[in-house]
Amino acid sequence: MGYLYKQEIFKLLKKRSFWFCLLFIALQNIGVAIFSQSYSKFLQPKFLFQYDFVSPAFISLILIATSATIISTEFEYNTIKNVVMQQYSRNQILISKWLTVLTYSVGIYLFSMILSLFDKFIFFNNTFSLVDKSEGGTYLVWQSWLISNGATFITLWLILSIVFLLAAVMKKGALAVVVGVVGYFALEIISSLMFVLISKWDFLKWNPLNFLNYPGQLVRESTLSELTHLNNDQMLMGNIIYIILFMAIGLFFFSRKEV
Amino acid sequence: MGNFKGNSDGGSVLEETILSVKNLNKSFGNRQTLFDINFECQKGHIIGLVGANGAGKTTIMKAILSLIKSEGQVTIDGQKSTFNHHPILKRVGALVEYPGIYPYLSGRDHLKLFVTDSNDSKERIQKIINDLKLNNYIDQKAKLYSLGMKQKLGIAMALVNQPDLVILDEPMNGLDPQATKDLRELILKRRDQGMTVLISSHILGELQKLAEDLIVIDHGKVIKKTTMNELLASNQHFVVIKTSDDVEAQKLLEIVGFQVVSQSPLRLTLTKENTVERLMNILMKQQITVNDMQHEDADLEESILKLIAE
Repeated sequence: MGYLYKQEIFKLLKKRSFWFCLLFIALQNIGVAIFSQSYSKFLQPKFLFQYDFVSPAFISLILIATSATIISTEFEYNTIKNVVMQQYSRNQILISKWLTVLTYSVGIYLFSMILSLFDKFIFFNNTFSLVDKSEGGTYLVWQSWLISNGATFITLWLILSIVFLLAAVMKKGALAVVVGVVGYFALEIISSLMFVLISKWDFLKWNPLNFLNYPGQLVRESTLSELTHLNNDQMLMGNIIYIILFMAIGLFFFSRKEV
Repeated sequence: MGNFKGNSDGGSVLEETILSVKNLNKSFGNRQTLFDINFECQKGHIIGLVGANGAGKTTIMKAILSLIKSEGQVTIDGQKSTFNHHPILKRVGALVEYPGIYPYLSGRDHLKLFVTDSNDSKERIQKIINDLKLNNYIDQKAKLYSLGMKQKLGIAMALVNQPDLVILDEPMNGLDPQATKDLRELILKRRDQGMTVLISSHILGELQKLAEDLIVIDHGKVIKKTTMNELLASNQHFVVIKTSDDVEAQKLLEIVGFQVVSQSPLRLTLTKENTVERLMNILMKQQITVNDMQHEDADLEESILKLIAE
């Protein structure tokens, strides 16, 4: 199992796109910080800092693509045979791929958080303090920063669990990527319609898309929980249960896959 | 587990079975492709799996390697191997269909990726690179490789861990004559060190030079299990002659019961009764001089084609 994980990490680090993505996140994070410094009237640096200067949005896209392709490229390159004909079970193979993306996701989140701290102390040392009250919330800036990072990380994994499921069921990665990306942006588009439906039929609050509101609700609890009909604990548990459920279904299909 | 086989000295040696396939059946939907496949491979042998396209050779190999689900029992060195539980595959190397290559990795990276951790991993990688003469391009990205280069890398990946059992599906595909010879020599060398090889190839001439045991597959069934020597010995033998009067010689020999296969040159079938000696006697009595004579034996290709046709 450790050997499989090592193999996956080796393959990931050898991809040029991996290093390109890290470079992109660094430039994007620092770029947005510089931009908000120049246009601080329109863009509030304190608010942007809490959301890592928008890096989690790009990180999500990167990880959706990584999760889909870590499975689908094995089929495209016909390398899945080399992987499966080792002494390990299909379950161990998929779990090693999950752990690789988990490592990547933790690493890239930490990277963007360190970059955000760097931005804060280089560009906004006198603009705001980490112990200021956060915008529109009850927490301090550093608390909001940690909360929003933690919550977006969890909802990102809700999406990744669906992407993993689709990639494990089908051999093509493209559809898994499309569903992941659409799922990620769908919330903005259909949330108002979804809230109307939830207010009409309460059970709809349990649909997975509603749980993507978790980060927003943590920061603006009172307003959003009225619309989602769920409290913060329900949100957290719901996310975790859905992640486990989707992963387990993916595992079920992958363990039966012929190559 | 072991079974006794007589050796050429008249004594007996204990042979161990490394691979045993019992009652292997496979269906794709409603279409059954393998029917009760049974065979065993003895340690240190090279076993040829022969059959027409679509006969089921690759499917058998895939089932042994747990790539596809199948009914029946696959045992490797005494351990059962199933679709989702196959730790014994640690001791098996394989190349099935075409090689799986990551385009963004170099050849050496591929070997590093699949080599098992041990103190001599680096040496094993370098050894297989030298054995298969991959040195010139092993550090280039694999996306730049030709078909033959990819094939050689696939074989190197199958052999890098010095497995006890190697399964090679059409390994000579895309290889030039020199590479084919290198591969043949490497397989024979590893066989001498105790490695067992299950190999399929449609280049029967090549297989004839390698395999000791043969399993002939047709329409998903084993139609013959034999040794190369036995199969070749059961072949027809011919003699081709040039005489002072071919027309007269043909007439004479047909009258006494020789079977003439072709006329120019005059090719005759040899049997237990119709020997070269008898042929020479008859021609000499009629004062027909034999100017040239050559023996011809049917090769593996003819034997296999005959078997399949039956």
